[in-house]
Amino acid sequence: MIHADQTVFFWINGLAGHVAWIDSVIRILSCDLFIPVIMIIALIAVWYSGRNIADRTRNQYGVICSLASMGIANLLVYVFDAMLPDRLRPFEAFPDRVHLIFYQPNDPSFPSNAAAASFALATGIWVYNRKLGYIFSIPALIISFGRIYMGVHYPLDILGGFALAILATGIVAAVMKLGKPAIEWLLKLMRKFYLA
Amino acid sequence: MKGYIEVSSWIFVAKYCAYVFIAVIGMMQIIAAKWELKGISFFRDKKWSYIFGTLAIIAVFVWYFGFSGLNLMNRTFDTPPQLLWLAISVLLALLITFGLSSLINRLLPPTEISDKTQSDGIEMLKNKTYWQACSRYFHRGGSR
Repeated sequence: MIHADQTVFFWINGLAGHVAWIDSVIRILSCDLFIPVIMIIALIAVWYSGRNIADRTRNQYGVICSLASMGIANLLVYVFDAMLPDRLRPFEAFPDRVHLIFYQPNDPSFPSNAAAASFALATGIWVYNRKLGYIFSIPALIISFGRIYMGVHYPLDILGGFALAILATGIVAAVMKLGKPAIEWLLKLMRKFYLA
Repeated sequence: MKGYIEVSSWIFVAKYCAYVFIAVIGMMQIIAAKWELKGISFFRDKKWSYIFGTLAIIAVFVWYFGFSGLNLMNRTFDTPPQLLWLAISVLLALLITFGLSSLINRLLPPTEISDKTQSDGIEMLKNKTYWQACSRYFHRGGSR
């Protein structure tokens, strides 16, 4: 499995370092400053969207689930980082073979925090709005692919991040189901102040 | 250690906050135009809200990634401070949108909405500024 992981990694990372502008575009698309901000402003748009109150309320549940899932996914990544033996980043394990076109992160390679957070945003909203969930998974896929392309993650790290995102969303969705009255109360309070 | 120099730089944080702030301001204007929330729009004509919002978002992304001196080969943020500054910038942008649109639209005629379902939450911002909506709420002792 590790061998297959490394084979796929080198196949994708082998594409880097040939065309400077493609590297630059992927570096921007996959950094921590582009897609997360796009996803957050998109979530603001989702919060306000809906043809009627029921529709909007469903979207607002999705936004709450999405943000909470991202928070829990981040937390799970920290827990897993503390529990699992550190997996070296590709550029650390194969310094002579990897095309590194990004800064050198100093946390463990597995699981990918960027993949966990971005997929958690997508899976969180998917619980309440399938179509939006699929749309939000496009930027998550881009950032995940970019991390492999840039030489900072193996494909298995991304899959680990994706699995944690699903786990985080499962936890959040279950808590939201149990705590539905509290969420209703929160949304009602926000509506009183014209925020929801 | 070189990679961490930029993290401690307040200029880097200020640029990031400005980038998020302007992007959210732009998005709020597109939202105002799309859902006809006149009370939070900076413009009477929704066409201008679309133009302003779209240009603001495109311009700030081009500036931030093209001309702000950002070097992505340097380490940028750790997750907790990034989330903190992101949240602060978003909240500030929402506050400024509500405040500035209330000032710009202070002459917007307050319309009484008889249908209860239409006056629920942000629906109110279709005909009232955020300030007018809140004042109305508080003048009625917390009930609509």
